[in-house]
Amino acid sequence: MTMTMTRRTLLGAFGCGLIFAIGLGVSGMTQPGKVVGFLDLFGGSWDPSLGLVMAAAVAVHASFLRWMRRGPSSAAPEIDSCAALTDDELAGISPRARNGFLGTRGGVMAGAAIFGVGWGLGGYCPGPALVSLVSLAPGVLLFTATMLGGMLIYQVLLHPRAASPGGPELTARPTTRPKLAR
Amino acid sequence: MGNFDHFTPWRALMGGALIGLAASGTLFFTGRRAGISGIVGGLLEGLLPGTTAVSPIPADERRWRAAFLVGLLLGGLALLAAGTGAAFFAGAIGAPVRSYLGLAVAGVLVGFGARLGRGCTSGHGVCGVSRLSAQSLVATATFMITGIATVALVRFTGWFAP
Repeated sequence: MTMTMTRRTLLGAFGCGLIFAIGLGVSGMTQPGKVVGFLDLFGGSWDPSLGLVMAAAVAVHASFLRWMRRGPSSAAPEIDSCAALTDDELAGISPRARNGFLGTRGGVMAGAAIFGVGWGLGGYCPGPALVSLVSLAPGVLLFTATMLGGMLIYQVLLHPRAASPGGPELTARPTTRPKLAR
Repeated sequence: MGNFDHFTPWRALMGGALIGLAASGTLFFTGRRAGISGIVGGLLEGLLPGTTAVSPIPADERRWRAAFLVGLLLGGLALLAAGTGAAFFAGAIGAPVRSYLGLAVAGVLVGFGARLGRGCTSGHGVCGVSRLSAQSLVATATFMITGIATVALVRFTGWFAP
């Protein structure tokens, strides 16, 4: 699961963050009114935009994944197929961050349910909130602050501590290393 | 469902394609998923005294996350700047639709829920769904359902009105 860091990695990550933000803005996802408008199925003025945004994003990303799965190409000879990676590996989550609840289907569902309530209530999720920070609107600043607080609460309350010496060794799945093109 | 006054299909398609491009690029350059909650969360790991990350977050993992985040924030700046001139970007950053109390509560739920749920709309909804990950499909369906229910409830009760 280790990654090879090059300057290209950092520049690429920066560029992707930039494009991601512009995509959020162009699509209208930085307008909580449009997000709530999509979730407002029973309100009488439904806005399907968010659905189309996700469909387009998935269409592009899924096409890219298919291209990657074809194996080494002349453009990126060292990129392993990502199909073999688990969700946790792709997210950079250690196999040790699992217990009877965390990382299980039930745990993830509980988290997603809670996330959905906050999302419907505020109309923001992490990406749009961060992109909107530059506007310095008090509502966005407040949401972002409490969002970070919520993340820290999770870490303090639920995140498993590093295994103590002599404790049971959790067996990690065989991992493939995402090798990065030079 | 009613009239589609606010439907912006072309902007939605274009913006969505850019998001998909960015997610693909992230995987290409870093080998990691473009899930914003994971990117931010990974940077927060082990920061609070008394908490340790499950396994120490390698400096490289923090570095690419920081680079992505800087890009995200600068993108926001670009949107703000463009909005004053180009009509296409006008109103890209919208106004909140809840009271301050509502936004504060929403933030805690989003932050906590995204970490427990191991992703958010970008991580699960875009990246996970694209690879037909069972976990992400279930998570996305779940937060869509509770999101819809919450909007309906808030509309019905009038709570947290701005």
